[in-house]
Amino acid sequence: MDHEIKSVIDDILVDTFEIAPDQIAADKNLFTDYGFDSLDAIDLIVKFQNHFQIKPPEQELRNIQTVADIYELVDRYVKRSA
Amino acid sequence: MTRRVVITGMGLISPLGHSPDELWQGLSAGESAIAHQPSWRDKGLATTLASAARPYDPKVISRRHRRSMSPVATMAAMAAGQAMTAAGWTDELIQHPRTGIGFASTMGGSSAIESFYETIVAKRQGAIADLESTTFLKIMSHTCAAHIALTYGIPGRVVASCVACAASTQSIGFGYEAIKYGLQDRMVCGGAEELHFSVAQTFEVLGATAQLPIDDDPAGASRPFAADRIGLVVGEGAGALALESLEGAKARGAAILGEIKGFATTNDARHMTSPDSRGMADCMAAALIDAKVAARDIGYINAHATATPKGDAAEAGAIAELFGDGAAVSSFKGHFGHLMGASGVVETIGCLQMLRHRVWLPTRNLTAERIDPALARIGLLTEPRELASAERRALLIKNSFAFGGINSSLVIGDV
Repeated sequence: MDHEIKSVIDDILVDTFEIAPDQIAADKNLFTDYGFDSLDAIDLIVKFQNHFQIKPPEQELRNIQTVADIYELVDRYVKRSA
Repeated sequence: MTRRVVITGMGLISPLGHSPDELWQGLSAGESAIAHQPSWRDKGLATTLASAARPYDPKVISRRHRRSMSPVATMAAMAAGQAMTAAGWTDELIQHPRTGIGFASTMGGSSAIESFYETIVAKRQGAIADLESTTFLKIMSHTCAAHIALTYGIPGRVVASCVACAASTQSIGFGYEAIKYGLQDRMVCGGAEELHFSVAQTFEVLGATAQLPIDDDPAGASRPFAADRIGLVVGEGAGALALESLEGAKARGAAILGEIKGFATTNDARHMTSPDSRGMADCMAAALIDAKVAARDIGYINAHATATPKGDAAEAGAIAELFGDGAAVSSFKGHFGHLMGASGVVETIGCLQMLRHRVWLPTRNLTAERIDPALARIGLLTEPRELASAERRALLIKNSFAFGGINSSLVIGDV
């Protein structure tokens, strides 16, 4: 996976959602580990869609649970649009 | 049967500090909080004068609550938290169905409104998708009250009387009425405003802002009641009062800071922006009736007095009609300009501090020589006036007036 994608997503989690940097890990669940709710999930999606200029379908966005899910989804759509 | 309503807690984020004691220190020392904002020149404004809140740390509010707050709501929530803590309200009291909120601002978060319009008018297809889920929550008119409710878990009524510059005085009044008539036992009340160049522009287009060259001392800009007054200076901040029934405060042994004796709010129904002496006088008279006191019982009036030529003259006319020169009169806007939605409550906290310290403070930038001769028929203070400890007239009126012809007056005194 593109290292820059991971770095941007990690920065969004730290800067916008105030997750401590040492708590960022691929296997963390956004909802159970970070306490995300529906508003957080929407804003996370808006942030990475805007940054990477991608527009994955709603169904795929709804399946995001872990940090690894975001890395994978963004990576796939960035490659697709390249 | 009605109940007496007392103040047991105060909190604020203001240009003169973030506690009632810091505010008092600044007011009594005659400090000015007004400074130039050179960047406003780039926005095309002629005025650069403003009164910004002293720096504060918004992270005292958790991110979960703060994520949908513009600075106006952040300051409101901080002030409300301070007031309830100072009152000694436990979580059980705060989260009780008989506890409510009266809190307002002129409008929602002005910085969020700016970014909202930037986004939706962006010349890029699909730009509206950039809006975050929290954008509306930052700009909605009841953003302060709703965020206070959520941050502290307050389940009672939410009154968000967003009536521009009278917002917080009216909020306190509606909170007082809710307790007086037995609808709630406790109300956290006040208002907030966030500094933004668009607020200054709103007044500038009406010719109502003070303007000074960028190298002139900003401390002399706001001159209520002076013959050479040049208009208002916009500011920001938040203030909150914890109100409760007298019997409730006594039952829990709370320290009582003062009593709301009466309140009235009226509308001129005459002109959207032009102040009206008749409406102001009628509002003060109605507040006196509600408080069951006579005009001669009032020792001091904390005027709205924003330092505009028309506004100060209209208010002085109304005061002259009811009180002659029998009550001392001053305005805090010489110290920190016009805090808009926060002005009424921050000035009320200043009044409660004057009651506590037994002195009526004068208007900053007003000397005897500078008093507008046309306004000299009222009891304008140019020096502090101390009160005897058993002063019969330790009773004051706090006025706030607003666009839309809104008038609001509180009568406040010792319990």
